[in-house]
Formats: sequence, C-alpha cells, structure tokens
Amino acid sequence: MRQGAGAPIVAGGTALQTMGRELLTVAYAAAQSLKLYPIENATVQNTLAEFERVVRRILDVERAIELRLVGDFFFLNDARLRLDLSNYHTFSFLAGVLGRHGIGVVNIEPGVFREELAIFLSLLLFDPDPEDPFGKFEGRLADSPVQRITVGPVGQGAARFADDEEARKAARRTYAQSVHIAREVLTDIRLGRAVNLRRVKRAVQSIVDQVLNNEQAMLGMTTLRDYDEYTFTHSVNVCILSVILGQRLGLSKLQLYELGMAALFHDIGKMRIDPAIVNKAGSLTEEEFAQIMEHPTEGLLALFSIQGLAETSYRVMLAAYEHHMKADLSGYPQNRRPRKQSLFSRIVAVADGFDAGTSKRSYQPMPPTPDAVLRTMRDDPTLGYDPLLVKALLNVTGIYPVGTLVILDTFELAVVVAPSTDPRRLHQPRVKILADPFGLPLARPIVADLTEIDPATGYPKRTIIKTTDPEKYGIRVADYIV
Amino acid sequence: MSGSLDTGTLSTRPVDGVGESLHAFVRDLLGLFGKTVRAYQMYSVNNPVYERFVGRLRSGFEALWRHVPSLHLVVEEAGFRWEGELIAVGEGRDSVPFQFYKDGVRYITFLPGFEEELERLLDVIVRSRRLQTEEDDLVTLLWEQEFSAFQYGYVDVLADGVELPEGNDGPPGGGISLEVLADDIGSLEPSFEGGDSEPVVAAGTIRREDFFETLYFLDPDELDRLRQELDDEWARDMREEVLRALFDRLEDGSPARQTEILDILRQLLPVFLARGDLASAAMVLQELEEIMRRGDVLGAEQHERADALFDELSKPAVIGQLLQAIEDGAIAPDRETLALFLSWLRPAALPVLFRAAERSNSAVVRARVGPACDRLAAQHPDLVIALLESDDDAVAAGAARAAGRLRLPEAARGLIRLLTRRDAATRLVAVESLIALHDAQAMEGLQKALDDENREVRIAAARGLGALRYAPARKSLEKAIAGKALRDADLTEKLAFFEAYADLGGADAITLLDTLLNGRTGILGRRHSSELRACAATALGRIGTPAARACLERAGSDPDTIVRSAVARALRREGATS
Repeated sequence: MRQGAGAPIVAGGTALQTMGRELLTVAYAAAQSLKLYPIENATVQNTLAEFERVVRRILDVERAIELRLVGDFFFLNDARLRLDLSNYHTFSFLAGVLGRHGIGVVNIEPGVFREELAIFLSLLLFDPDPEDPFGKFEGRLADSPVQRITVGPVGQGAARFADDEEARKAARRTYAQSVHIAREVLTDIRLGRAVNLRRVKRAVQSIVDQVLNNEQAMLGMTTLRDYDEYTFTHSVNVCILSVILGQRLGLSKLQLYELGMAALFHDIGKMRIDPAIVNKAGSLTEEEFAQIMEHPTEGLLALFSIQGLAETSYRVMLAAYEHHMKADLSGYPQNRRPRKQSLFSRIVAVADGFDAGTSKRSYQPMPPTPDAVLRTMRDDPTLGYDPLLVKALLNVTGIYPVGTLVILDTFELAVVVAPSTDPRRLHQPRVKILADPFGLPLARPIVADLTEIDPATGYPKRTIIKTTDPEKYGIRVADYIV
Repeated sequence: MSGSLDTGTLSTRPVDGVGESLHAFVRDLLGLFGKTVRAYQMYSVNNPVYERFVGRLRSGFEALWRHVPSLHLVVEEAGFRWEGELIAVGEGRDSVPFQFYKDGVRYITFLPGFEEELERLLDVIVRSRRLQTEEDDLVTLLWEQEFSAFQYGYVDVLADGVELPEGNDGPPGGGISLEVLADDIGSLEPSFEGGDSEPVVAAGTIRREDFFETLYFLDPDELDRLRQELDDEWARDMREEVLRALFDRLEDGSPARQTEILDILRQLLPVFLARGDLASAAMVLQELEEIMRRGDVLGAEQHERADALFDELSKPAVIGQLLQAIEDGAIAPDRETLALFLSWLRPAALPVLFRAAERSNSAVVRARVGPACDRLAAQHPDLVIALLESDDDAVAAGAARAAGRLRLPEAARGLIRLLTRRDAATRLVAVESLIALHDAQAMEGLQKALDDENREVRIAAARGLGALRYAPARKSLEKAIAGKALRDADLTEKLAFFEAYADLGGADAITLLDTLLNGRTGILGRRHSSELRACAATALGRIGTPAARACLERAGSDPDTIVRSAVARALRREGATS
C-alpha cells in the first residue's frame, strides 16, 4: 500500500506528556502528605489543592482524564508518560500503589471536587484485600462520596493498548519512511552527492516520537529485515533499538534524537567500502576483512563531509567510529591515544550486535534465534558489550524478543509479538499462535498472553518450552507483527 | 458569559458566548501575533517597541483563557481558520500561516500557559525564515522545543509515495511441516552421550536461569551508575575525542587517508577559531607539530600539506581575522589560551601580532595579545631583534616591548636606534625596554633619551636611570637640572629629573640642590621659582644625609608656602627614613 496525497496528520508537541508528568508528581506529593499527616494539615491541603489544580487544567483541555498503567508506563489519554531516571521513583510508587489494588485504569470526570481526590488517594493508601484487591477497592470507592472517579482492573488498559491499530499504523509509516530516507542518504554518500539532512532529522525525530508514544509498535518493526536492503533496514533497526534503550536509560528527547542520529549513521562507513566486499557471500579473505574493519574510520571521515552535521554532533561521529571498539577497547580500530568508549557508542554497539546477530546475512544464512543472540551477548564477555546495557536491552526485549518463534507446552507453534507488560514476567510475553497442538495452521492466528492463569489449575495456561528457527518452517515472523 | 476582553488595542466589546466579539478578539489577537513575529525579526529583544508587542500579546492570551480553554486553529495557505472563519495574518508568502502551511503544519493549538512559551515560538518562526532548505525546517525546529502549551499537527510530506510494509494475519503461506514440528518437539528430551557426561539439551530449550529476574532488572545501584554515566557523558569534551581519533588514524593511515584527514583539520581550524575555541585549535597544531617532527609518519606530500597549514594560519589575513574577532568581542580567549595557540604559529605571525598589540583600537586586544606573543617571540629571538629595524613603527614598538619583556640583551643596540625614530610612542617603548634590559649598554643609550623632544620619553628615561642607579648619568642629569630647559618643564618632569639626580648623585648632589633651594640668582638676587625650589627640597629629602637635612632646615621658615610645604614633607621623609 502506498501513501497518497491524503497522508495523515502527525501530532507534534508534548503538552499532554508534560501535563501528565505533572499530574503524577502532584498526586505523589498529595499521597505522601496524606500518609504522614491528618487531612486538615496545611501541607496536605496545599498538596491536594495542587493536585486539584492540575486535574482541572487537564480537564479543561481534554474534557476527561483516563490514566492507564501498562507495565512500566503510564498513559494519559493515550499519551505515554515517559519514565526516566529523574522521575522513576515517583512513577514506581504510584504504579505500586495502584498495582497493589489491581487497578489498571483511573478515570476522572469534569467537575471533580478536591474532597473526592482526597478520598480516592486515601483509599489507595489502605492495605489491599489479599483475595480480591480490585473488587474490594472498587466496593470501597462505590460506598464513598466519590462520584467522578472510577477505576478499571489491570489488563483492561493493556489490552486496549496492545490492539491499537492506529499506533501500529503510525509505526509502520515511520519505519517505511525512515528506511526510504536511509536508502536515499546512504546512497547519496556512496555517490558523493550532497545529503539532505533535513529529511534525516525529520525521520529520526519521528522515530523518537514513536518510541516515546508506543515503544512496542516500533520494536515490532525491527523484525522487518529485508535481505536485499539489509544496510538500510539495519541502520533504521539499530536506530530504533538504540532510541528505545536510551529512553529506558532516561535520556531526554533531544538526547534521544542525537542518539538516534548516531545510530542511523553508525555504519555509514560501509558506503565507502567496495560493495562487493560488504555484500560478499561466503567468507572474507584476510585482506577483505581488513577493509571491512576500516568502516568505522571511513564513517568518521564521511560524516565530516555532511554539511550541517560536522557542526552538530561529535557524538554522532564517535558512535560511527567507536561502535566496534568494545567496552574494553580490544576491538577495532585500535587506539594510540587514551580513550573511553562513549556511552552512545556502547548503546549503538549493543543495538547493532543484536540486530546484526539476528539477521540473515550472506555469512549467516541461518541466524540464531533472538533469545540465543541475547544470551550470547549477555554471557560472552569477549564480545565486549557493556553488561549493564545488555541487561537494559533484555529489559526492553524480554527474554524472548519480539519475532522469536516458540513452541508452547501445549505443542502450539507461536511467534512472540510483544514483551510481557509485567516486568517481573519477562519470560511470559504475548504471542500469536500460528498452529494448533496438532500442527494445523490456524486460519487466523490468535493472540495469547502467557501471563494468563488457568483458574482451574492456578498455573499459567501456556508456557514456552522451546524457541526455534522460523526458517525451518518457512515463516516470515514480521508478517505477524507488522 | 460577561466581561470584556479588553487589552489595549484588542476588542473592547462585551463578550456574549461565542459571538462576534470573541471572533473579533481572536482576529485581533492573531493579527497582533503576526505583528509580534515581525517585531521579533526587526528589533532586538530589549527594544521597547518589541517589548510592547510581546506584552500586549501576552495580555491578549491571558484574557482569552478566561473565555475559551484553548485556541485551535486549522492552518491553510491563506490564513488560520477558527470556528469557520478564515483569518489572514500577514500577506502572501511572508505570512505566518503560509510559513506553517508550506512546511506541512495543518493545525496549531494554543493552550493556557502559552504566554510563558510565546517568545520561544517567535524565535522558532523567525529562525525558520532564515534557514537554508538543506538544514532544518519549521517542523524540525518546533520538535526541538518541547512546548507544553503549544501543539501542532503536520502532514508528513516526506512519507509521500513510500510503500508501507504490510503484515499477514493468515496462516503461514506454505503451511506448517509436521515433520519439522515433530522433530522440534521430539528434541526436547535431553539425550545422554553415555557414561557420566552431561545430558545434551536441544538448542532453544528454556533453561531455569532464564527466569532469574535479577539478570534483567536494573536495580537502584545500577540505575545510579547509569545516571552517573549519563552525567559524565555530557560533561566530556567530544571534540577532543574526535580529534584524537583523527590523529590516531593520521598516524597509521594510507597517504590518501592522511590527505583527507589533513583536509578535515584544515576545515576544522577556522571553525574552532570562529568559536573562540583556541584550545582545540592549539591541540591540533601541537599534535601536527609532534607528528611532523617524528619524520617517519607522514608522506612527503602530506608533510608539505601539514606545513602549509601552519604557514596559512600564520598569515596576516588569518591572524587579522582572529584579532578582529577579539576586538569585536565575538570571542574572548583568556591570555593563557591565546598564548598557547599563538605559540604554535610560524614566526611570520609576529609582525602582525606586534602591530596589533601596539596599535589596535581595542584595549582588550592590546592588553592580551602582547603578552600572549611572548611564547612565540621567545622561540625566535633573532626575529624579534630583526623586527626592531622594521620600517613600521608599530611593529618595531611591539618588537621592542617583547625584547624588554624577554630581556634580550642583544636587543640593546636595536633599541637604542629606536630612540631616533620620529614616532614618540616607539621611542617611549624603546626607553621602557632599555630600562627592562638593565645592562650597561642599554643604560648608556638611555641617557640620550634625557634630551628627547617628547616629555613622556624624557620622564621615563630620567626615572629609569634613577631607579637603576646608573651613576654615569649623573652628569647629564646635573646639566639638565642646571640648565634652562627644565625650568620650563612641568612639575612632574622636574620632579622626575630631581629625584633621579638625587638617587644617582647622593651627597655629591647636595651642593647644587642647596644652591637651588636656598641660593639666589641673577643681578637682583632673586630666589629660583617655587616649583624648582620645591623639587630641590624633595631631592634633598631623598638624599637624607645630615648635610641635606641642614639645607632643608635653612629653608624651614621660607616665606614661600609651596617651598615651606615641600621642605616640611622632605624633612618628615628624612625623619622617617633616618
């Protein structure tokens, strides 16, 4: 499908995210003060007044508030509120408080009074019922004078989020556009033509926006691996993975943009290497490998030729130069002067390693499964990846990354389509079941959440027992994710 | 709804729901917005005209929020559309709506609180007007701002014609091979190779340790470590890292690569200089110098290129640019950094630097460049001495000052020759530097300056000779004191000579000084002038011997108050020092 003149309008700006973060901050402050002091206390009243002010401001603009908790993230009316190092404690406290009562959604209507907000927060601070936390909370709320605040259970928000077709469409659009621009830019560099930096900036900004709004959808796009256009899709995949990682580490939006640019250009040096060597099927000779090992330096030099970029970011250049250096500097190129691999370079290295490791290449016709690649990255120190960043990547992808083909204990064949929304259940992702226990393909794959418990047994309904190679089955996993 | 939206020139009619008054208000507000953009473009932010526009616009938005929760506008080529009405803001391609429209923006929404972000938006709009098409556009600039009270939506024209990937939610195309699946499932059972060997478990089978959550969670310590890494990352000088990379590869690169790197360095240097980053520029020169000195790193052609880089940097035109930037205040390097950078230049830069140090209109340049040249000058003393002969007085003066600061004894002859220059400023510098040299030849030459036609030169020479206690100059000073020329000089000059005479003459000077203080002159037996007598008293005070004191006491009740006052001061000084 091609996009025509009726291209959709993309929303820009971060007003809702800003208001949302403010909402959580004031809610946290009010909850903390209620924990410590009686309600009549001036501090409590001040924090509640602030809470009310922010709620009303949002209601004035948005007409309603729906706060959803999905995994690590809060969503305010579909805008994802970024968890980062500067606010993770506030967020995790509130997530913990809501999660204990089994609450996944909070709705606030216009006209809400301060007293209602106070009662709601007070109820949250009660100990949850061990048997039916959500039911008990809902009952208490119904019995109280609160009229304009309602709640929904955990999972309600996640389900809606996961099936968001609009979000996936936006992700597809961003992905396709980015690959198109990567192809243009890298080809221009190969041919020595001027580069349109503005288009690259737009593409990376768009990736950052999509990651901030719907990380899972963008993560799913990285399963799109076009063998013939590997260089371009790889650059975009590394960009997406790096930005996602950076987002988890708490980088600001502008920092994520810079990281995204660094990742997109990380292999630009290959445009200056003989394509016959870069794309050679079979093993490389020593001389050919030596040439490949020049691509980081070639990348550094190539970036100086891009008008407007040389001024902008030395970090982008360093990522191209350092991404094969390894954290202990035992990689390449070799250093004659003291150096420490920059954080951006290490992030890009991890993203690069994962994407390259899971891609079909001329030298790797049968790539290992994604989980095997992750395990190797984690367990083999000679590969030189920063272990903390690998851990962060695992936090993002889960044990079984999106695109992993798995066999369940029911002998159904399934593909992982999203990591678990529960960070304590990274081994229980969401899957699409492709074949029934008898091996018969399903006419329409069904989505299953592996965290789901069978009420009869009290155990998960399905468990992964093995990962396997989609090539064996002739399955293109991206088809089920995109 | 009641109440007006009055804010100066904006509509003052009472508001009546979403009625005509509100429309008129919004129309006026947007018109004002367009004018404020223009004002931002034309005036500086301190300009009262601009401040007035911004103030009114802020008030306008503040008033608006009392009546609407937000202002959502559809962007069209010809204007902004609000509540069905198309509102033009400016005309044609210069208009604000067109500017948004052409970069793909199709709606904008102002929210309460926008007043705080107003100027940032003005800045973005005006900056985007000045862009070249290859760089940014309005959308990329808006994105960087992270507005919280301004939203926008844009059509992504870059995505036009791009094919979107499509999924397939049907069954796998070729079906599932049961043999393969059975083989996969069958291999789940671990097989033993026999004996005590470990069971072989099929690849891909899950392992217990995969469930260890601590492998995947980032605990608070790790988060702290990452946060610290981020802070460290942002504090690092990436420019230096990139330069180190370039130099590493320069050392082991092929000739073609070396040439490319040298070209890059050549392009970087003016960028560094333009930014005032002389430290990076100095680093480049230092590394290059080191590599060139090694001799076995660069090819002949590359060596020449590197050499040419130094020559080019040392050219008057290039140095002149740097000096102009300092003079204009565009850059403000500290003396140490400037000295470091200049020390790597070729000696050909010295004349330009000397000239600037002496004659620049900028006090900052004069104050910083002169001392900053010293490192370079010290490496080339012969050139400094040669430049004393320069026909350009400013260059010669600069060389003279450098020679004095560096205490180059070989410069004495050249400095003495400068005393015959027509330019008084040059002669003065020569005197100061001769004093700094502090050797016999210099002092000998300095005596000539006692007769200089310029007052400053004479004073400097007298003071210098006195301070250095150059006894042979006593006779010259005596002659000057006894002569007529000094009688016409001002008090400062007189004092300089008398004090020097006292310092050099000591007790031998008392006779003349006493004659001037207490003696009479001429047929009528008059006293000398008050000033002359006061200077003599001061000089006697400096000598401080009992004989000198006796001379002073004789004049202690002199009817001339100026003389009496000088005598009293001299006696007090003499008392203090005795």
